[in-house]
Amino acid sequence: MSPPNSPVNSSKPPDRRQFLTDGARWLSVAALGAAGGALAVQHSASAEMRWQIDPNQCIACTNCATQCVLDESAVKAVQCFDLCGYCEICTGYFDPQYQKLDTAAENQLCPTGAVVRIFVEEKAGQKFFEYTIDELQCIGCGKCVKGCALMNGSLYLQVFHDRCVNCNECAIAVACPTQAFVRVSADRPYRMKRLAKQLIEQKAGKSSEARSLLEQVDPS
Amino acid sequence: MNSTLRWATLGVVAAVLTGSAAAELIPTPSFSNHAVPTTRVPVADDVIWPLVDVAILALALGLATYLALVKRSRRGLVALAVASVLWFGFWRQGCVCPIGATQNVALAACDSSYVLPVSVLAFFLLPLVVTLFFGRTFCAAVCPLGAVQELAAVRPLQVPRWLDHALGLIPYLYLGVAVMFAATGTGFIVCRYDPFVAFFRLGGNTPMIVFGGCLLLLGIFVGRPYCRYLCPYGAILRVLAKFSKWRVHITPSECINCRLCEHVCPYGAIEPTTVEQPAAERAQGRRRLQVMLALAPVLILTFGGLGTLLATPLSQWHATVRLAEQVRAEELGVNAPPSDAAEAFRTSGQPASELYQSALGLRDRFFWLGGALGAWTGLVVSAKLIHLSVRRRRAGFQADRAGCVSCGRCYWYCPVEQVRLGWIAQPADAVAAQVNAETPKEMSA
Amino acid sequence: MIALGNHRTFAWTALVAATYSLVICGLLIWDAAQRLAKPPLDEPAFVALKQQLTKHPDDAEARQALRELDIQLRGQFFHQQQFTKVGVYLLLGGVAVTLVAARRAAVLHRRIPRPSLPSAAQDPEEPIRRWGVAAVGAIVLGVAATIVLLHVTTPTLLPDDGDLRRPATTTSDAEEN
Repeated sequence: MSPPNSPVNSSKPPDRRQFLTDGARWLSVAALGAAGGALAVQHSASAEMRWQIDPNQCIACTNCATQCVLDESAVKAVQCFDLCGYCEICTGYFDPQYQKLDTAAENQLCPTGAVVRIFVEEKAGQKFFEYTIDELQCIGCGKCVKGCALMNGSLYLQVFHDRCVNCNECAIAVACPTQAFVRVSADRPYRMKRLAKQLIEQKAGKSSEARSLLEQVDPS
Repeated sequence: MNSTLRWATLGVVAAVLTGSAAAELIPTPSFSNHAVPTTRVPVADDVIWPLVDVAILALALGLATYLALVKRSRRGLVALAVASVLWFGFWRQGCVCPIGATQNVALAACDSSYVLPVSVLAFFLLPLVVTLFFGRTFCAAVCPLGAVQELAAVRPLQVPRWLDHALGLIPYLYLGVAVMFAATGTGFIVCRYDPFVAFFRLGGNTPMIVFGGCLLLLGIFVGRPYCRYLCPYGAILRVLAKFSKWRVHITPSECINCRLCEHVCPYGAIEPTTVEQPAAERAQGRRRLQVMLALAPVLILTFGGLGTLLATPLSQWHATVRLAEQVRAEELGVNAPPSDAAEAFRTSGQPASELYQSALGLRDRFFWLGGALGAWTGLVVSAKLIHLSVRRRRAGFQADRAGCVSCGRCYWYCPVEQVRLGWIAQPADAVAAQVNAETPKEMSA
Repeated sequence: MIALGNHRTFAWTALVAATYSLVICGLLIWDAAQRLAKPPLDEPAFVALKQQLTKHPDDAEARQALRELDIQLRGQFFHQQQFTKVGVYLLLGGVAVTLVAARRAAVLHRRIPRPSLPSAAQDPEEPIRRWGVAAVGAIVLGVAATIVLLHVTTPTLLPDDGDLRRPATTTSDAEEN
């Protein structure tokens, strides 16, 4: 069967062209190899990187609650109990306009009631309460963090790595007003306040939990 | 303000009450019957996944190449596309991908303090190397963005080739801007404006979901709109694919010029058999090529100059410059809403003049970078103009190496291939109807 | 005939699934817009009630109203999150069904391609070349216009380099005072 309009020019591709293509290909391979090798030697780490908040820089601006690509933000508040004063009048728990020291809605600072207040002990006429973050309720707005910063600052925000999808460009980092978002090694993907870290380091001699926490914390 | 004062006094009162000498920190009490718990943070247990991903990427690239070039199975490619969407898209949630990795590599090349994970480097390099030898098989069924558009291309129409050529310039410009922003640490705009990642994560910011939805809807009628008219990594692959050693061959033996492949390719990547030109036209073509070659340096220089005008607009994408503008606006009393960033800056006590100085330094950098971006634009445009003016000779219909994404539709529809597969007895069975109707005389031979 | 019937089934399935997806998509967008425009956790009514309570601490009615509103707003917040989560899965299902059905329908109702045969008289690439150059020219003009437009419309308040060096001392003086 003869095709209609048989090809007009059936000239073979000239050898010169083939040679140039081959040359360009091998040049490209060499260039990619060289560039890749140089980058691998200079900058690479076999470790993966993760996003984390440096609590020393964070000003708890509430962007973390709204800017995350996840509907439920990967950022949550963390309580460092060893830094907490167990105050009866907790500035991270109570609204500045509180009326009574109880758990009623009008007295709470947290918009979702994620800070849990439990009475621990009464000592020398003073009541002590333990404040724990309910992870399921916390939306990472940082209101408690801002409140607590007036006192001990034991509450701080962290990216939770069981939730974070590790975007190449973190949307919260883009919106962060103080560039508190840093890339840290995935082996030790958490950061602590300097003071909190000192306290945990003191505790690490006695407690295995404290040691395992420190193993998760970025050394820098 | 009031409340802060109130809390401050409360803090002092509390500190006095607890009897702490240094009124700054309230000590953690020691309880008689309660141990102070240690903070717990969830473990990041998926450190191994990126390496698994690299292995799967290599495997998928190999499989895609085999299916597209050796097995010539369109069905296999579609199945692989589904698998890629499920794995790289929905399961691994679209990060990291080679398209975005371009920016990490650019940043690592310019910022010595940036740590580039090996997996990211591998994600960037592997598809490039494969493309140099086998064409864009990565685009065919491995890239989740390409795959999801491939699956969406239900009834693609042909985009006019001339429009295709012109719109095809956009990815190169996007690539230039993306690399510049990444290298200066301004941001990863390719990731920020990734249209499909919100789908893969089943959530995200609404404008991007709407944009992605529109693109997917458009993709039903226009094959792969993102790959062809936006994807910056695709722009690199297009160039490298031109030097590929092997590529998709449409017909297994002799082309019968039935045009079915050209008709069925949704990506406008099939180039027809060329016809011999009269001498006069050839001379005209040569003149046009000369004009374009002469135009190239003019375009590059003009755009290089124009690009320097972008110093201010480009630099304002950088966080430092934005902050400086904000602080300055508040300093001058310009009607600007107060921002957390400016307030935090003032609290830090750093002098504003230092901030302005570094912002101005950045703007100077963007002056030259804008020039370079302009020159790149001129280069890309002149390359396209020269490409449009060069005549090539082709015997039979061929897939254009740069534009072909190895989707396999062309050989799936090729009558000669169907004969080879034993589906039909002779090519005329597939094309007889129209061939007979339109050119009875030529066919009767 | 059977093939035609099947085609119809698939086409109708695709149509129904597409409509369903569009409805879900519309609902999701509407919900997201609502959430953006009126975040339940920043409800002005709640803030107003709180202020009222601060002014009149003994207003038991306001206290009760505030507590009820608080519960309602929290519920609304988490309900919206759940709504999006479920909605996206429903949308995904709808889109998947649409695509599969539409592809099947397209395959079963394949239009016979009737490309005209290439003619030897006219070079098919000539118009592409001519229009291509024109379109590239249009893009060149567009890019140039965008550059100029961006340059003209982007204001900057940053001081000039020279200005910065001179008043640098005065600002530090001012800070000392």
